[in-house]
Amino acid sequence: MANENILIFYKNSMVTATLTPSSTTGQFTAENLKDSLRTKVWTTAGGVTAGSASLQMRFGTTQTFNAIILANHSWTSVPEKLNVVFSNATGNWERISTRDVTGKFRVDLTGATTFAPSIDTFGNQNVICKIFTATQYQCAMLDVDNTVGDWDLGQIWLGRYFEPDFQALENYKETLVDPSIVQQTPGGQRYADIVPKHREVAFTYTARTHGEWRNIQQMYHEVGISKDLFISFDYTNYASEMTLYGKFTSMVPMTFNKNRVMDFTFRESR
Amino acid sequence: MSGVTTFNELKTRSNTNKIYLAELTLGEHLSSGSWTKLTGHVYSKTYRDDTIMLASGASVTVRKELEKIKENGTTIIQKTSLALVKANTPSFFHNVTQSTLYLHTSNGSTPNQFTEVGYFTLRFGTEPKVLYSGGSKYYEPYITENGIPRLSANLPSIYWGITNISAGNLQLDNSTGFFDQISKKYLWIKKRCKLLVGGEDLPYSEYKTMFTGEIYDKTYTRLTLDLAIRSTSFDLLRSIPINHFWTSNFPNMDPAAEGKSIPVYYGIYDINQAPLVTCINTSMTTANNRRFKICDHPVSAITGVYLNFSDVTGWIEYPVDTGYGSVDLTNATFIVTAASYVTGQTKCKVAFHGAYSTASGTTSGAPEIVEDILLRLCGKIGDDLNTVSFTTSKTDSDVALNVPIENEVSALSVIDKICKSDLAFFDEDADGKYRYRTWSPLVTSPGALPSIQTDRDFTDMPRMIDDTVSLFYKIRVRYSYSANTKESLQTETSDVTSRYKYEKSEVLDHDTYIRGKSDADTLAQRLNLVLKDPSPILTGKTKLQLVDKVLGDKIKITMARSPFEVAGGYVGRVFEIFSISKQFSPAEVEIRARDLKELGGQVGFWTASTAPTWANANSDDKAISGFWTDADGYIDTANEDTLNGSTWW
Repeated sequence: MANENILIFYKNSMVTATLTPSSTTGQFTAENLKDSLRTKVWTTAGGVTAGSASLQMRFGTTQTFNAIILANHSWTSVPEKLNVVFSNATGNWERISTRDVTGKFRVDLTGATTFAPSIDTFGNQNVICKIFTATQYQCAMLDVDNTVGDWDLGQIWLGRYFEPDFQALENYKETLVDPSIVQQTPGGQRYADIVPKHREVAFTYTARTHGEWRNIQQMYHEVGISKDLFISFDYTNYASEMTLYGKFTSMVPMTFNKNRVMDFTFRESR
Repeated sequence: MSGVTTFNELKTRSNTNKIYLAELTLGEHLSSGSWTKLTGHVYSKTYRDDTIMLASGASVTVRKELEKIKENGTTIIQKTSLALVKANTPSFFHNVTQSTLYLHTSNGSTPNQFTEVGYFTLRFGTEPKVLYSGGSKYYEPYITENGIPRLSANLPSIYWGITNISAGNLQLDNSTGFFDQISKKYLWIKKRCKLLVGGEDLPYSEYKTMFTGEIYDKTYTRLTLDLAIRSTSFDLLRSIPINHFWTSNFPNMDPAAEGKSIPVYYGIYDINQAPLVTCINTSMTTANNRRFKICDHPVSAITGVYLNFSDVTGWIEYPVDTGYGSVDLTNATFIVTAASYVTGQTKCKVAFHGAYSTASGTTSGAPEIVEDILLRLCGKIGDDLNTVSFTTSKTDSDVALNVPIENEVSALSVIDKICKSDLAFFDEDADGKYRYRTWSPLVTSPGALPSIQTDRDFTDMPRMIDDTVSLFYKIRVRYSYSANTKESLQTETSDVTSRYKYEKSEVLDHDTYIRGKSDADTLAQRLNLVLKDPSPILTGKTKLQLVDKVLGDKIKITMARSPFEVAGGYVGRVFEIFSISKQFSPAEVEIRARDLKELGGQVGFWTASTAPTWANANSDDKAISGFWTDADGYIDTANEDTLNGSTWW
């Protein structure tokens, strides 16, 4: 596996945004999108024919964006419209159909490289991610036209990623972990308490430049072992199966040694 | 999608994903803050979900939907609209959509004059789960890997008594800081905790409640929130009787009675059992009249009053004054006229019929008395009781009791002795409701009992222990307690064969509330029947097959050895569970069950019109029907296996 195009997403402006959804169902409000639990979803309301919905996000101050990630959605196929529109005009959210209308910036996610219509065989939780040239705005709106009725969304990340200059990961090892407990009776009958599987990734990263070293430091300082982040381990070739949501499991000594070599372990979050 | 949608499938399949849920019904003090007065004596305030900050800096929402409000400790009615709140006193309506609470207090004044506590439920799971129960509910995956406590229930005596129910700590993950703010903001102590088990694709209705109790302590750290939970039976450690004789209430009472408990009496007390009564008015207008109070509840009859002036004269029956207002059954008082009465020296005792119900007369049955203690003395309501168990026991129980509660004792200790008198069990079901079960050795439908094969279903080797602790050749039962002499009569039954066989000479002394000799003899004979031989006890562990079992449930055990024909073993033998312990990582249920010694199978129905003859009986009939025996003890003289195959109960 080449480990080309590693993208690390860890800055999410959503967590402090003021949210205004077009609709919501019961306790599944848009505020759930701020929760790091990806299964705690926002559910739209409107019935079978009302799949169209929007979510306005106001960040208060100008933010820098170059990536969007949607995860744990319930769309079974690509929605007819799936846009994020950035703007500085807080009260004018008409649906724009062309890119870069005055004062606004639209990102079309229908063609996102990692669109996964359902949980794939690798256990990915419906991740859509899209990167674009960095831009700065105060507001954003998710704009969706879907025809299959109410839908769920578990995570929406609007923020920044960084892509290491030198892409090679050494000692990359991905392990599928099954914590299920198996017992056997004296008569040979085997029983299992099935526990959902998750993946763990170990890799060695070498920062070859000082700039790259600083990027890693900033990222690690921000997330530590307590915050979830997205990592695409091979965005170009295996975007769907190798984009993971999770946490680092142990802190790595940030020693400024000659080779700047660091060993990471990363575990998928549920 | 596994396709497993019923609990029965979940517990019997060999490989399943089990999910455990915890529902915590917490409280929040509502009285503080400003209320807006509306028309119709209704007050409103904004009441919305809480937004809390996690350790990561992210904010998350805690959902609060008020299910109940208690005003100064009394539950007030929940309504579904503002108009209904205006029309009902007291009541409330939580409009979740508009984040507004409407409250109509019991006297129409501001809620700040009361202690108003609102109750809502937080839901947690071992895995994230959305389940539909009056709307879709999200169970936050905050229960730690070993966070569900081991739940155990067992009986100190295998044939009667109060069940010891223990529960440990429910552990929730606080590494994100989720509980940092809410552990202080909400009221947790003495609030309800309910644990459920399910998993796979089960709907909420198929999840089984394993335990319902209360939180009594919580420990909060940066990593976990540990909630100590326990059975609601701890509530019954309260003392009864409730009220006392005070001169402030009875100004002219016998001064020696100051502060004494006002007794509670169940049953019928004759001249020998009659209790001493307290003089509550030594200075009545009519000369030589004195008023006495028997107990703290209405009585149905007073049948004799006796005075004792000295040991020389002994007890002398006195007529009760029958004048207007003299005998007051409602307040359990009466007047005696006696010129020689000396306060502080003369004793008075009374024969009477104690607490009663309009429907069924004097309350003497064991289940009826326990029910009355719970409802009348312990402040429980009908919904706190497992009514099926009480109804069944009222049919099964056949003893008449005299239960005098004269000095302060815990309600549990009284119930324990009632169980002892009735061969009964008292515990809680999974929903936290009180159960009373008069023990019956009958197995009415053996074919319907769950069948366990130890080799297939037990996760370890089953152990069979002969319990010789409960081996007695002689039983002494004390009965007919005299409330004035504090002594009881005694009867005994023995089986010398047992003494010679096992060379054990222990005698069981069994103190009871039983009123008459006939019932005491019956109890002694039953105890002799079950205690004269060692009781085989089976211990073993299964997966979830037995997770929904409770104490007293019967199961059929097959414990085969190979070659079975010569090596012995059990085939479909009925055992009764008297101890059960459930743990959840891994999922395992450990039981201890006693062999019914074929007692259930031997108890006869000789008088039943449907009882078949041995020749015509099928295997089920043979298991549940009694049969006439010859003088030599054989049901079928040609078949030695039928020796002593029929038993009285």
